[in-house]
Amino acid sequence: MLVITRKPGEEIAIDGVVTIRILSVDRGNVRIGIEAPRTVAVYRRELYHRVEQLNHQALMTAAPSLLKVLRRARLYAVPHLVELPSAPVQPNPPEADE
Amino acid sequence: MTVQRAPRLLRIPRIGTVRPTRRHLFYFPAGLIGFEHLKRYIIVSIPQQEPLRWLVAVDEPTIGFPVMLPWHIVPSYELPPEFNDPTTYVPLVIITLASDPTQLVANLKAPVVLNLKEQTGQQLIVPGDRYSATHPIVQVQQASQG
Repeated sequence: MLVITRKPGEEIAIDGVVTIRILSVDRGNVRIGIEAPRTVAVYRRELYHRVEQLNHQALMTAAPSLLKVLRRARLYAVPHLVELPSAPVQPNPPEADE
Repeated sequence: MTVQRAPRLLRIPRIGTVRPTRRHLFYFPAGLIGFEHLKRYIIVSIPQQEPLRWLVAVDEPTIGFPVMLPWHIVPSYELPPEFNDPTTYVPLVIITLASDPTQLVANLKAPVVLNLKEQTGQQLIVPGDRYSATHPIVQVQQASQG
């Protein structure tokens, strides 16, 4: 890891497109300003980890249990029709599914 | 090398066989959070399961996320202003069984946003605290349950 010492008001430039500025330091809290193009995702690390964890959890959910609970879910009808290009599916023959 | 050619036949475990065409393919330049290596997805819907759909990784079809339009859960759901063109951007939220397995939660905080015009997608994290990553989906009370 590259280690740089900066004072409040000073900046770090990354790749010419991202600027990190130390705004203030106050008793263990560092305020940081980040300027980056919209295509660069900037998140607090713990938030990123949380979403990663939830994504993994969504994959672990067995489809039958999910569908069972979903049947009792109170869902709203969506009035404006959203056309999504969904690929047509041919169900697996029962014996072909492990 | 990102050849945008759809595989001819995709066998998705427990879902079925899909013949995706180029029109069905969404390219995620950054993948999904935690799945950065998987960049190509299709949306699969099974009529009996609607409004649930599956976001399936074309290059690893065992990876399939249960998703739905957020408005089924929160009718007022809004993406950040820069995605506020409904003819281009469509959000899908990932559904999970909560730690209490009788409860479903939706990740409203980190929607998958499809760009229908470019056929691309990304998983956003919506700033602020308006939306929860584990928003409970209300269940119809079952009178017969003891």
